[in-house]
Amino acid sequence: MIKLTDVEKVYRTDRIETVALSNFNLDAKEGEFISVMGPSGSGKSTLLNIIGLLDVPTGGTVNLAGRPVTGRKDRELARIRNEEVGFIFQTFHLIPDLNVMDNVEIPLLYRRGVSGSERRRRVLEAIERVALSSRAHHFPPQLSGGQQQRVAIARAIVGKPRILLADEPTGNLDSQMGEEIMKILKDLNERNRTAIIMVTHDPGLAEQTHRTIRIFDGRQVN
Amino acid sequence: MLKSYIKIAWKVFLRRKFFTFISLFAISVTLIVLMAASTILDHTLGSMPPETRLYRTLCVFFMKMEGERAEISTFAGYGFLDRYARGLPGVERMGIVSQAPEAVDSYVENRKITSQLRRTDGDFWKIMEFTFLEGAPFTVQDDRDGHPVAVINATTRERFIGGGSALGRSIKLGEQTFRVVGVVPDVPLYRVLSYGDVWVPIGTIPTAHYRTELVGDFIGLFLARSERDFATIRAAFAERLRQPELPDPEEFDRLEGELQTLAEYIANTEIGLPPKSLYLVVVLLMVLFMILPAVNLININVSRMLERSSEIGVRKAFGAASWTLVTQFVIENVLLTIIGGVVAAGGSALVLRTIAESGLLPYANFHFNVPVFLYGLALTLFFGVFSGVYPAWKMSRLHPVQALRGGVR
Amino acid sequence: MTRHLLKLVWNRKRSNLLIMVEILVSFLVLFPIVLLVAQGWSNYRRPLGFDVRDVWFVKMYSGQPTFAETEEETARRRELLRQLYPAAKESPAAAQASAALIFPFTDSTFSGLRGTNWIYATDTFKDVMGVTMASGRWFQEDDAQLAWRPIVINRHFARDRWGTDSPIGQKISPPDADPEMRVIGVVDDFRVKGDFSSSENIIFVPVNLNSGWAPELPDRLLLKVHPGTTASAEDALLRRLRAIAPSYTFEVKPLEAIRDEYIRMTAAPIIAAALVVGFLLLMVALGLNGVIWQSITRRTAEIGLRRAQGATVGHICVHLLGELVLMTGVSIVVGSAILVQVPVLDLLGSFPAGVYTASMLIATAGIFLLVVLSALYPSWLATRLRPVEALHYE
Repeated sequence: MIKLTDVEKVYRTDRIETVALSNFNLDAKEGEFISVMGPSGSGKSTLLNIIGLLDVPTGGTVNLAGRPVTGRKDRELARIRNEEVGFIFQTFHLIPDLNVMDNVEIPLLYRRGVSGSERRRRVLEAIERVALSSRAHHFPPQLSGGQQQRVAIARAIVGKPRILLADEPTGNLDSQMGEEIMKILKDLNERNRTAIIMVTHDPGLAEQTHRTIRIFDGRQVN
Repeated sequence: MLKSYIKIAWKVFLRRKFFTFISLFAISVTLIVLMAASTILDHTLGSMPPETRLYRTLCVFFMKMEGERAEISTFAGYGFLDRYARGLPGVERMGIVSQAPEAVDSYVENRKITSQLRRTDGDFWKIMEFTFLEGAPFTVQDDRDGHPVAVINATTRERFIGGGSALGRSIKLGEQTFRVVGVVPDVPLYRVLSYGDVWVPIGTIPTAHYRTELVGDFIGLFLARSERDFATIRAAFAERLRQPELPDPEEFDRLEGELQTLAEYIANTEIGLPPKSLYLVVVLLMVLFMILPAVNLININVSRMLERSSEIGVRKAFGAASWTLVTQFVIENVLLTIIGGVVAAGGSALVLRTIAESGLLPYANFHFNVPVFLYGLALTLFFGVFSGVYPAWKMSRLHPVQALRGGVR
Repeated sequence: MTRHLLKLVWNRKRSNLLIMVEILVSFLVLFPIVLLVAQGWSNYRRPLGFDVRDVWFVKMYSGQPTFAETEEETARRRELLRQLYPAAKESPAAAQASAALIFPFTDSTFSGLRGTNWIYATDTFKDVMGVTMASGRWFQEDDAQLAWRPIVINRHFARDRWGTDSPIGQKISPPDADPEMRVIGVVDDFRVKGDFSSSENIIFVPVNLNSGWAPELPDRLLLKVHPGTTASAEDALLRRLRAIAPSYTFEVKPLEAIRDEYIRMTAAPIIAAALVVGFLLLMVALGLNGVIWQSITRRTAEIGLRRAQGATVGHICVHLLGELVLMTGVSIVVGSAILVQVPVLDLLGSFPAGVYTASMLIATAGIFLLVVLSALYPSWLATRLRPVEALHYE
């Protein structure tokens, strides 16, 4: 499903070279739930960005859902992102001026050939999946943190991607809400066989995944 | 305290050069247009040399002779002014001047010179305050006897005589020859009552026909002792309109005319407005003109404020009171508008000089004057405060937590 | 996608309102000036109906107003004219001359019938002014024998009065006309008020100084001079005229110079106003640029998110510009509604529907261009942001 081979990411400014990732290999199967742990600045987010095609590695190859993605154009990357990947962020990143349904609909807007009624059906389905049907017409600022993150999950899954990338999805939530989010993610993983890569600081959450990758200074340890 | 506010404001300007530039540009352009327009207006309607007593001068411009079937509508006639309009109560002095200059050609050393010839009576020179470069005005006696004498402006002296004194020299204008008795500085076109190149006595008109005309080609000038006498003078003038016997009683049965200030006349003829509303309309136009820049500035200010919302959040979180932030913001704005005002003062001087040099207005000579500057300054401050108030109000309501998150809806 | 944009614009209406007001006011400021320029330009492009080249215009002043003159004075003036006209005609510089009562390139009119402008002219007028006939004929010397008075009109009047019917032979009856007037010819046009004026109803009325048939004295002379005649010939002409009427003041000016002066004086205030409006709009463009820049910076996270969700750079560009274009559209619809409702534009005069519509379109296009131009750079900056940076902005 996801295959990184000898991936390297070096940030260069005029004077300093910062190695964010080096010689990184990863092979995630379909339906695998992987957690990524490591201290701040160890390269977790860089890894997620590279898998999510938001960032381009300076070396190595990336293979996503059977497609090699190295060297593709922005337009093609955008399309793969849209079809194969769903994102969940620590700070939700909902658009405050759009209500729940309109927020969830966004990924479908960038996809060709989805009719209005089809979009509506899938949006409602996604919202139901995160148990927010009663809040469909609310605006993000009217929702609690947990509810907002559930909206973000609905948005991530509305396009039926085979890969979900979650960057500390529970980092801004209390433990009870965090558990709730974790339950939804596990349910998605088991029932839809969606591959999930989740960055977390919480060992308790990491334990609930199939395996944990630890990163330190841009290298995989253990 | 104020000093530290200004210091912070200055730093903000330097940090946000682009916003500072567009704010300054907007303020300056607006003020340049407003200051240039009001300078031109002031030079047309203000009491300035030679029309220094304009503020207490009433004029009769249009007069009408009316009947059932016919109507002659033109300017005041010399005959009416001379015989019937003298000695009105409250009037210090009455003068007569031709309604507009006429162009006359002269040939000097095979060059054609076209001069604007204005005819006046002797009292005109006592109502106006000309500075004489040399010589003196012609007198009431000169006018009565039709002496061929002339007062010329500096440019005409240059054209006809070149260097040296013009006094006593003769100049031929059209078919008539005049002896120069005085030289005055150039009078610009926008001085409606006194503009001309050459001024000669009305008495030099070849025919005598004008002496009996009730309506004709003249303007009557009535210098009131004070503006408070205007109403009395107007009423007395209306009485006088009924005195003359009309030339053709079968055709005409009444004479009409009105005493107006120059401002009323210009409002009436140039813009077609009811006489008293000129200043109101000018103010209204200026306000309308200011709407766009004001909205623009408010928008820029809101943006400027939003951009700094996280900074505001931090300041609030560390205990800054809303009003200190508002004060800071308003001071920034006032400072910016004052700088804009200074730029505009220079800019409008430049614009006015360009207009003067374009030759569209002969002898245009706009100078910066105190009332316009003060007016511009007041406008500037109003502008600064006005465009700063809404954003500042919005800022004072900014919730620190929201502000820290970097946005408001 | 459009609905999505609509929702965004609507839901952000409070922060968008001020921007929309600004666009609306800009439109209201731009439209009148575009209208004036379009009107002037569309008139300027049309033929004037006469040729100003090598035509000298001579004004004569008797030194006293004509309306109050006695019958003897009028008779004397007529007699002088009768001598001045041939003198001008036979002057060496002149190829042809005409006497007329005409006020070219001014707003003055002289009329005996409501809604028309009358020009009294001798039979030579057509050749001096290079007027072209659309149908019928011009005056002749022997028209003075006719029992009725022949008149020539312009095509605008013909269409206005008789539509598609031929106006030739039609009678018009102004209140004081005696004898009756009949149309003998139609000229293409004669826009005597100048290049920027619209066509008006023109009636040419013949005058014949020799037969005494001159209801109004044509005290202006028009001379078609030989090509290449210079101003030095002016003095000779003036001397000739002054010899006949020493008490008169004469003013000679090439019609071309009068026209240049007219164009300068008419265009100057419009150019000044256009300059002011131009500066205002430049100011608005800069202001909007700043505002849009700021609002895009504020929405960096949103842009990053959209990119993460598979939006291409093109999508983002379309999105940001689309929102603005929508807002502009709404502002212009409101602005047009205001313009239609409020009769302020009547103050500027009446305008043909074509010019009005064209101005509306030009002003609309101008405002769109203004908004898009001011949004282009900030939008481009926004799309240059890499999604990762955009998401981690804050």
